[in-house]
Amino acid sequence: MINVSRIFLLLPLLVLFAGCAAMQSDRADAKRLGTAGQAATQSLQQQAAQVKSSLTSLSTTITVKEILDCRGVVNQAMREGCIKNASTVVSQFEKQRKDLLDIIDKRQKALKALNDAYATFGDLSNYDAGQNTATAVENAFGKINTLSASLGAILPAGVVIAPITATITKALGGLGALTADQRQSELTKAASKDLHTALDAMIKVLQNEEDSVAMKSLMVELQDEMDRMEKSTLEAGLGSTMGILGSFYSKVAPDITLTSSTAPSNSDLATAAAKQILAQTMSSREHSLESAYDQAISVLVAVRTEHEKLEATQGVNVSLIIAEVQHLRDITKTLGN
Amino acid sequence: MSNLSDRLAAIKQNYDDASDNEATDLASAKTAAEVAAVQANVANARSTYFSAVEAMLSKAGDDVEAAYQEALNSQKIIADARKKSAAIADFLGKLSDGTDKATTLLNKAKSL
Repeated sequence: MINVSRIFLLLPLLVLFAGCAAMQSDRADAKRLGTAGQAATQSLQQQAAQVKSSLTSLSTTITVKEILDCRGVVNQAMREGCIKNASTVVSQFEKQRKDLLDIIDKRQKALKALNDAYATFGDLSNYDAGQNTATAVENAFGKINTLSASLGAILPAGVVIAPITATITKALGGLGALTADQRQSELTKAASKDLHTALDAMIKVLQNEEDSVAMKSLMVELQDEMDRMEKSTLEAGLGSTMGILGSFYSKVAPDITLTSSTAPSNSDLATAAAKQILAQTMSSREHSLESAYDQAISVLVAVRTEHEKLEATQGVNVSLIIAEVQHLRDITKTLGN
Repeated sequence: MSNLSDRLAAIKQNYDDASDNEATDLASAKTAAEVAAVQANVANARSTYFSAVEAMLSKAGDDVEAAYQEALNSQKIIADARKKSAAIADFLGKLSDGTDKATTLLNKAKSL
């Protein structure tokens, strides 16, 4: 016969064990979400780093192209004038270049701060709940203060985000009566809300239509500048076509081994073929650059959805995030990344 | 009605066309002044494009439908002139006009 009174005595213990299981689950969710958030922000961070690198060398890239474009000027005096102008024309857009570099640098720092915050969030699950984690967590999440300042620097004028340390600071203040496990669970949820707020602000910037159009255009244009420099190099007879032709043949006709040099009588054919391959590569790369940017934002949106689930104690499912990240990797593979 | 993407694309196209055709245009130049004019036009178009990108990344722009349409029309005129191998002086005038219109587009956006 079942002893009902014993069941009632056991109930508080059952609730306690269920509660412990839920807290263990919170920590596991924090770890999964932390890892997913890092993956999501890393791709955008890498894209921003690539833009920054291209902007840094842009003046030289353009100057070289400008000089090589003087190749058709036959008159010696005019040719010298052309070369002299080519060496100085980039100064006209130097201010815009530096201003853009500053904008991208701030964006990259904001993404890095978000990336670091996700790393810390994931590490939250490693803290020993038996110790006093309040100070350790507060110190670790000092990075969120950095993130708040970084995001503020890239938001459009007039757009304000709420202080993102509010939730965790408030949570820390009210956790005195809880057990260490309960405290860690509450801090995990509070930290998730803070990260959620920061992520919302980042997504707001990236999904702003004007911002998105401009960033994608800039990424494509920076690649176009490189491609124009390459084309001018070929047309000036300074570059070997074998690299471009060899890469093409290795993909579409791997059985063909190109000779190490082109017969002089066919050099115009090789140049024309190489230019055609370059033009086709430029066209397909434009689409891939834009798709990679849009997809990276989709990954962030997927991470945001899982924050909502963690805060509602619904359990985090990173399979959707993994699928979005895989799609992003497939796109960036076409860029040769 | 244009949208943001169309407006920036028009400004970018103006720069891309000028830069892509720069070597050919320089080879057609008959005087040092014409060489300098071709190079100056490309530089202006470049500056206009990167200024437009900077403006859009740092603050919101606004509708500049009329200026956008002018830039489109101007690009068509330039393309036609190239096809017909118009006299270089006349052609340079059209190039400069196209870049001016793109700059107008940008300045209108900045003022709003």
